[in-house]
Amino acid sequence: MEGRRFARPQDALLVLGLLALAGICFAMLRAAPLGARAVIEQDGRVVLARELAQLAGPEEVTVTGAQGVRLTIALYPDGAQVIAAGCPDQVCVRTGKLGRAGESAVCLPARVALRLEGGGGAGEADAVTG
Amino acid sequence: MKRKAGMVAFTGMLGALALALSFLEGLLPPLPMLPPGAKLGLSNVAAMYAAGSVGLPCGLFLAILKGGFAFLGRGVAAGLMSLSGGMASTVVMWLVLKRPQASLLATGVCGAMTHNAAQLCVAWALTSRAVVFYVPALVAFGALAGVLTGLVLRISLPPLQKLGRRMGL
Repeated sequence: MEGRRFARPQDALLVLGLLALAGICFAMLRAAPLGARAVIEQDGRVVLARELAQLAGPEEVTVTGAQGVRLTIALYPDGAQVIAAGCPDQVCVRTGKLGRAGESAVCLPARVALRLEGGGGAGEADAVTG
Repeated sequence: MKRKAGMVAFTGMLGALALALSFLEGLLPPLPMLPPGAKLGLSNVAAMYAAGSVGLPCGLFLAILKGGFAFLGRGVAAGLMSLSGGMASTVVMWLVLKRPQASLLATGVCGAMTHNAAQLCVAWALTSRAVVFYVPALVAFGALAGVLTGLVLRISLPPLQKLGRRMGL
């Protein structure tokens, strides 16, 4: 290990290439359509799916995941957010409010994921009117 | 015989160093500009030195020790994440360091990217494909954290080498 160099000129390409790749992915996420449907999954199974356009106002849902971890999720007409989690790391809470299709907040200890889908999935109606 | 005893003792000390680094990192407040869940991965410094200077078994021991502590302290999910990321990145850093011309920075970046990729796979298995949303953040901060790992090892290499020599390595 002694005498090993800290960096070589071509390492700049590696780092810049990775940052550029991340930048392209960020831009693609930003360009996604607004989320139309909030989906809550537990252990990879959908436990709740709600059309956001049908919400009259904010709605709160409580999910109890693996190891008894409780998550409080708020659904809004324009997005969704995990507002409280009974686990120490609070990763999903700090993710903040989701607004676009493809965005998600994942609670690993509870094995619960909240994600937004775009409008008009395959074979599904864009909207259901009463 | 003396060399073997020294190696075991040195591995133990590196293990303690890895645990201390990850404990200290946990004391840092969540940095506002970092995405949720992102960590600096300072204990990778110890893993990288172990894989490069002592050997692959020493590096894997560090990963298992760290995973065991995460399992006991923070539960099954955290234990699996730590173990998968640690083992995969240790193997990759060991492979990269086999090339004599590989730099510390490149090794750190490869290790950090592997760490994140392995953890992403475990997180996907534990939850669902929703974790894909984190990919851009993992790529960007994995690259930066890898640069930091290489830099910290560059600075701390001389004292680590001195300690290793004292233990007969």
